[in-house]
Amino acid sequence: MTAELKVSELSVTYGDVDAVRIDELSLDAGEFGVLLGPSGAGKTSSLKAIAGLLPGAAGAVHLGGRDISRTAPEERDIAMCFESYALYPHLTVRKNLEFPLRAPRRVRELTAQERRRRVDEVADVLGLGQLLERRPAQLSGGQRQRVSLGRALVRRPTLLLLDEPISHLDAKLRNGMRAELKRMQRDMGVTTLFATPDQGEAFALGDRVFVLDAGTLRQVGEPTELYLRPSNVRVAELLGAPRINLVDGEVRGQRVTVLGLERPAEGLRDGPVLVGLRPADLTVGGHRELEAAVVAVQPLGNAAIMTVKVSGQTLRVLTQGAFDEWQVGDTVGLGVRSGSLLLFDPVTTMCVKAGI
Amino acid sequence: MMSKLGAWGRRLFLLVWVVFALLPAYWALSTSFKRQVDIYNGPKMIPFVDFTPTLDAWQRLWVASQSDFLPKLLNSFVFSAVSSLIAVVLGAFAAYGLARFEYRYGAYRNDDISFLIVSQRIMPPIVSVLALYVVYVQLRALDTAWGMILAFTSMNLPIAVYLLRSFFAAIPEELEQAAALDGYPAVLRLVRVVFPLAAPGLASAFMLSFFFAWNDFLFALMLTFNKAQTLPLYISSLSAQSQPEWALIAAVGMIALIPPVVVTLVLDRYMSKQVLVGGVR
Repeated sequence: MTAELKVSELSVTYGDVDAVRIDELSLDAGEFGVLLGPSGAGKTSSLKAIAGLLPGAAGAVHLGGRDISRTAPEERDIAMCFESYALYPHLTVRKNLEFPLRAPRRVRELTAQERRRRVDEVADVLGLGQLLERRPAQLSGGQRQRVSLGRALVRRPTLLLLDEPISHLDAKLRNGMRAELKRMQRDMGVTTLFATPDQGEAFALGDRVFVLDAGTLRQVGEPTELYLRPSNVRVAELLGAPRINLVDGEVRGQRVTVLGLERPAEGLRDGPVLVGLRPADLTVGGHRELEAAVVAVQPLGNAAIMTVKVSGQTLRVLTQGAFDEWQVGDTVGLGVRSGSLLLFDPVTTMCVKAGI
Repeated sequence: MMSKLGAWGRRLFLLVWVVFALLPAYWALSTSFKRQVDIYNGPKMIPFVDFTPTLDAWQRLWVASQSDFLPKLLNSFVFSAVSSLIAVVLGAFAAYGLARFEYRYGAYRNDDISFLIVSQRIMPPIVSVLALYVVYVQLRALDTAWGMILAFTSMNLPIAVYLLRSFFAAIPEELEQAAALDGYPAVLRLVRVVFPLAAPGLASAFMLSFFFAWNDFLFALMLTFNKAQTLPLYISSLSAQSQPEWALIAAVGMIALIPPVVVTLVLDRYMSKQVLVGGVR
């Protein structure tokens, strides 16, 4: 049932535009992979290419050691949850969920009773029990999304492709669904590739995260590893919210200077450098290393995003706790957590040093 | 108060409209029960007051039914139904192709091909019917059932293709992709997902085709003379005498109304459905 996925030399072209060019993407059997990238990065195209839905795609796809590159999509045993839901509007929720079980290649595997039980099971887990006789037009967006998820899960596929399957749920439901999804995936042991632009989902769900940007994979790894040691500026920008601050610095004599702050930087050549400072690594009050003017405060409830100016550069700061004591126009002291600086080459945008 | 007045106003308007729409049909119906003299001393609208109804025309129609009338009614129905069915089925395949795939024949792209197909209906049929007559003589297709079905199909195919193309184009491709991943091969994707969702289009294409064929006069006039004659020709033959048989014409006309009405009633429930709502975001 469960199988490893190996994709190599995958490319998708629309006309003469290269939409996706992935050298290699592998998942172990039962692994939960997250394809993280901003909108337009090629996530949907990648998933559809793996599923065999795009005539303009080329490359090799191996599932469970079997080459399925030339297999028709209906024979691949891959289930996909579309971002647009793609529910069958002329069928009830029950018929939608049953649809994959009634396909010619599976219809003999299950009796009508077993089919019914499977649908009830999935509907129960997804909270669709009351909605089984409705049609998609009578459902809310979040309900439709859950039906779409259910249709992908009901048949226990070898590979599960999920294209932003919980992005349109409201916040409370989304958090619940995250946990539920992770649990179901573990229980079923199904190899899963989950596409999302949301770094929070990548952290919460991903055993392994593939950072996709402009059609190519920038970095692959565990979420924490990508957060602490991004290989380049784009990865640093995509993981971590609010977005990382990037300011110009200078390396001279094995030391880096940024915003008047100095840190050791062994092994780096002299010259300009791009310094990444995560908003969560900056502290207001307490240990003062920098002097900052407060430009804006955006409360989040238990925290706030504060925009400050330091030596003419604008920085985002994620403050914790009592943020209401600062007002726009105040001057505050800013601390920078040690071991939090990321240094990038300003030309190649590759990371040259992390954790100083 | 205002809304009550509005409601009555609406009812009054609808009443006037109903009378306006049904008056010709009533006139024909009442005429079929009139004697010739009542018809010519016209307009007499109210039976038993204006005129004394008689079943004369209907009796004559019954007598004529074995030899003349019924075969023609049957011809009309079979030619219309079969040609519409062929036009919708063939048209559906062509329209699906034009909606889903990109074609390129020299300078011709999908839109050009579509226009080429529709343009077959832009030219008035009377221009081509003489040439068609000559071709039919060569093919020995004159006055045959298959000849008439062929003529009606070729007349209706362009409209079916044009109408259905937009219906298929409105069906999101991701529904077909979903069906593919759910395990359905291409033909079943069409049967289980695409055609049910195109039902309003298929129904309207069939209806339009049926009406065009049912009401055709020109093709039947030029291409048939006896065996394959249709109802409109029969009706016109009744008036082509020294004294037109108005009551008989009206009776046949009433019967000629029935099949299109039945077709409309049967297919109407497919047309009004909002089948595409709720499938995709």
